[in-house]
Amino acid sequence: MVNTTFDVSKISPLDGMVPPVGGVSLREKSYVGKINLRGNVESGDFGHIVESVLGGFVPTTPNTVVHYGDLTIFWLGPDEWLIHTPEGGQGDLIDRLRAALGDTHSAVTDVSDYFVVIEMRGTDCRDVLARGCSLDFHPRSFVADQCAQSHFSHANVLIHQINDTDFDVQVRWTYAQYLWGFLAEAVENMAA
Amino acid sequence: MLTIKCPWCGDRDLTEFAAGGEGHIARPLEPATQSDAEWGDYIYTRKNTKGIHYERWMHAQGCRRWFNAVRDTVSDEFLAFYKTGEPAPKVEGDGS
Repeated sequence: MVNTTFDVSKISPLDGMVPPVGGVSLREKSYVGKINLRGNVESGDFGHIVESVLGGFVPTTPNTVVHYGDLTIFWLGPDEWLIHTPEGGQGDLIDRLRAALGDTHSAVTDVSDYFVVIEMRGTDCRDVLARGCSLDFHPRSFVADQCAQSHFSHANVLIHQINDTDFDVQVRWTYAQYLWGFLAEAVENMAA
Repeated sequence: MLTIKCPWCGDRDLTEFAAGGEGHIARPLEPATQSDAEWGDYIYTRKNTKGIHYERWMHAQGCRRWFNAVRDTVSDEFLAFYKTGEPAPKVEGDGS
């Protein structure tokens, strides 16, 4: 009998996609743990309970990113955040958040398999992103550890600037191939 | 290209937003006691303003928050943006 069991969590929609040749390299950041966190930081205990678990306060400035240890926390909305954990770390963190929050009005959701993160590395990242997104990527208005939710062509994306040149782009699983194809073509067109 | 200012994210392109129609329409507090005519009024009747219009928008492709805006329906010019729950700002030329 054929053994049909396989590890579903290790399948990516980007398996087999060919990286472009040009001024920007594309690579999938595999198996990042992702947690969507919602709650009210303006009143009640939510903010301080979460702070005690994460090691710091969630970012309250719109469209910014903070790092605590190996956790990266993105502002998604005034009452919504995204937490990136190392591979496999999301389950334990979710348990600890839920245990600490108890009955506090909040929501902790595992969205690890809902999104895919594409790493863009290279000096032309800003120009490639500008081919499909209307945000201003000039260094005077988009800086390191700033993030923004927008759309790249038809794909809803979360763009995170890592340092002066590099970006991570998070996209929904079902849009990953579309986004990769668009980015790869933009990179190769610019190189041509 | 039209630019809309999200109260949280700042100036963004129109394509990131979804229009939500006229603002400041309160849902009836006691739905069970509403007559059909009152429900119909709540659901369907709109001012259809020519000029200064107070309306709802959502930053659908961004932070996904609802907010309010004041727009001139003749010139399509946005005059003010404010968060849900905040009082409507008085805008010059508003006759209502």
